[in-house]
Amino acid sequence: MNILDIRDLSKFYGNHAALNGVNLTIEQGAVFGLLGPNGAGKTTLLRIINSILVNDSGSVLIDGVPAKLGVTSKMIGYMPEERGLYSKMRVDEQILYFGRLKGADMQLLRNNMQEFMDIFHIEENDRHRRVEELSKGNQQKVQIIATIVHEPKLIILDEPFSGFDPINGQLLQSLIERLREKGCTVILSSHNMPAIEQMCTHIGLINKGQLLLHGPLQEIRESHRTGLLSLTTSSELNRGMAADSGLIESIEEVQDNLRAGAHTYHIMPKHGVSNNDILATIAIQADILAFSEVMPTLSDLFIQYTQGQTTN
Amino acid sequence: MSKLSTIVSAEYRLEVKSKSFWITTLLFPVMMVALGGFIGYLSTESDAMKTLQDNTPHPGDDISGMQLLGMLSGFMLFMFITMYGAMIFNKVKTEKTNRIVEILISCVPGRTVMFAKVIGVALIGLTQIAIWAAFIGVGVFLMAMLMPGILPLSALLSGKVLWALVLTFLYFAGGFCLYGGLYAMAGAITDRNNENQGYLSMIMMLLMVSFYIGIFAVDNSGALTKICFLVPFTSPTVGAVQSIGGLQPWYMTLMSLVILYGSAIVTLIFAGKAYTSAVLLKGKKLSPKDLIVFFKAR
Repeated sequence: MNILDIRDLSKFYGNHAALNGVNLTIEQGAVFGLLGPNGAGKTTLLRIINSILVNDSGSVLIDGVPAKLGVTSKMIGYMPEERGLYSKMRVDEQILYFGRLKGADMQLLRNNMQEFMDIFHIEENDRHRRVEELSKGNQQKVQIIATIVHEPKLIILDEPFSGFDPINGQLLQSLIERLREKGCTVILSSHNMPAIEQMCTHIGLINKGQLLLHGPLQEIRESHRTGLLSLTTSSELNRGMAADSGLIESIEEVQDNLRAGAHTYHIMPKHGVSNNDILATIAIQADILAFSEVMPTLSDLFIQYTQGQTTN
Repeated sequence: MSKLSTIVSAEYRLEVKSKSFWITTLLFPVMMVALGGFIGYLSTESDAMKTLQDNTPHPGDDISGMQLLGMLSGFMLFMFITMYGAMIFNKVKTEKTNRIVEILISCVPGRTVMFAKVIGVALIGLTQIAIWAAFIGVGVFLMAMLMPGILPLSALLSGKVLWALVLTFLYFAGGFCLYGGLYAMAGAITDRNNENQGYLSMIMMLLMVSFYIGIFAVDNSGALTKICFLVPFTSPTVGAVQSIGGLQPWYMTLMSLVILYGSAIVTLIFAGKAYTSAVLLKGKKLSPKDLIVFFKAR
């Protein structure tokens, strides 16, 4: 079942198309990574989903209901890229206030607030302090809790990792996993490609108001495989000799900071050549320390698609 | 609890729980008493002040007690708006600059936020005034106890005075919503300090005009007064002065109140639109093209 169903969505600012005929569906329980360069239309899309902006054409359905302020707002938890908290308000009051604005029951809010504060390791005395007295990381935690405290079905987090150290990033990751297990759908908009790659089940890539790519992350990566291999050896290879074997299309050494003294190569085998044959050819020259297929990273896809569109 | 009352309650509690609220509330009467004492001292020492103390009645200056009450109402409105309008302006501006606005308008329409701000700040102001009134009440009570007969308490509780208080409240509330909406709009459409000054000065000028025409209208029923009685920017003072003073028929009072409240609602709706579109026009000056965004905003 789809939690979000967007059909032919367009939004224009004067002659500029911020979104142009976007079609997107996100199924319930997915962790969806929304990617795109700055100014691509991501924020406009998120604001239309949240009924902050009115679309010029097309439709947005949240769990089958047309997006409308006051109707679908309760189903969504939205944390915009630029955070906003009342610095003079107490942490617990702040969280309950935003939850009440979403129309949730006070008892439910109190229970959830307690649970999420425990997950985020917010200390007891910090819970009643004013927001301005907290560290930036803790303020970020408060912002996230205020976003999800009313148990929304669809959670939208714009750059949720900014302001977090790796430990807090890990906490956020486990929280998202937990929410997903409860049946929530999460949209993460971020430029932190490794985090998106690690957490998302699905991705969508948007540029110049158009959705260039979307679907399950594994399928997308699978469909963009090039067959490139990565091989690490204990000593330097004679690349000419390796190329002369007739099995290899190209071989080049790449920088690898993980192993001191080792050498890493990217090898493109000729069509139909098995990995075992490649390994046998290299093993003659040096000890093989590591061997794997190079899967396209999100950064590779991001650059490929956005630059491709720029060139076109 | 509706979302409007949730915002009003949060605004109110946030302010009333702050130390600065109590410091200003308690220091203000002390300062007023000190100022009164200082002027009293000057009046005994200075010849100029003695001249001002001259109580000899001047022909043509006589106004009724009710007209005086109307004038007082106009003056109170002017003071109240000046003090608390700036608070509305600052609250809206703060929310805009620290980006809470985007979270709020994903929950409620901008106009609801604006209505809530104006009501919340009005309640904060009324709380402060109630505390001061309690001080005054205690003072009056003590005076009445210590010097019986000096205060005409029965006259203060007459039907005429109570009706005047109702009219005062109606013009006061309408005027505060109208000017509060203007302050909120000013807070939403700008974030540059010099531009802020410009918008605030314009509102202050409107208020000054309203106040002075209000004084002029105490014993005047000319064409200008009649127009200003209906124009919403001046009707809070002129209306109060004229209606309480019994210088206008009831249907004119009703018409002036309807226009005032209608204008206040329209102003707050537009302030809401400015607040919502502030998200989209961050850091930009409002261009004619942006007006489309403005009018489409919720």
